[in-house]
Amino acid sequence: MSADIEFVPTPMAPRVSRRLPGVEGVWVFVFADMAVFALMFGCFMWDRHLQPESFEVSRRALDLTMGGVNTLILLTSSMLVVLAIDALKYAENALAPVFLGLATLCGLAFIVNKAFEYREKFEAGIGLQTNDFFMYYFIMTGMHLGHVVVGTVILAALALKARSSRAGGSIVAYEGGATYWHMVDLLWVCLFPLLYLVR
Amino acid sequence: MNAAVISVMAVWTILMVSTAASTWWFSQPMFTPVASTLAVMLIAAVKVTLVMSHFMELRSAPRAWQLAGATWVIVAASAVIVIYLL
Repeated sequence: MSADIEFVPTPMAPRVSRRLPGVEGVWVFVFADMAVFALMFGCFMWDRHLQPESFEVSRRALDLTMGGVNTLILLTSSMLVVLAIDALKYAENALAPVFLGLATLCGLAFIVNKAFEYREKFEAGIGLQTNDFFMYYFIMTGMHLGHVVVGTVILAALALKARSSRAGGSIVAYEGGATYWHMVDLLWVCLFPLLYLVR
Repeated sequence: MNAAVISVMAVWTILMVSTAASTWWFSQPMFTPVASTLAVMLIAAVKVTLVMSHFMELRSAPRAWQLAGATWVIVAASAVIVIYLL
């Protein structure tokens, strides 16, 4: 019996469309910034290796709860930014300014918390020149705080933009701001254990 | 609530719980400094990976950018852990 063999093409897996959120330039900046911080992490650990007692005594002077709460605040703000971008993508435009406004408040809460932490240190007579640990502490957290301030301003501007009649335009600006804010969060996720928890 | 939102909320929950564990549990004196530090740094590396993949959307980004993100996490975490263990 002859059988006609019918050729059935194997279904091809659909090509996954890969896309970088926002513009490439923001990502180049983000990775350059992250490289600088990574270098500082290495320098900090090296000096900690050379002066373990001094670094450990100084670490114990930090407020673990304030650092932990600040981490929770930034992670929550990042989640809110993701929800805002999601709302814009699914045309739920009314929700986007709410999420971005709440994320801005989280940024402000981080800044206030950090200001209290700095004031506590200054009142205890601890400053940039106290020792190497505190030099790293103030430089790294200070640089990061600068990023938080810039990021909070960006979030506030995006919240206002999302409220305006032009909210339905391109999502690229929102994604660029979101990428920057997530980097700020990511850097703190590294800085917090490095300064407060490594013992 | 769409699947993307549920996924984001799940990742956020993991990030919050792991932060609480690092801050208030692994810092307890019942853990040796080495065990505590290694646990905390590995948790931080996982958290950074989750932020990159789910919040920054690198999981759906072109391969080159994914590679850049993975390289940063591996190099930074390895450098910190290796210098700590010297």
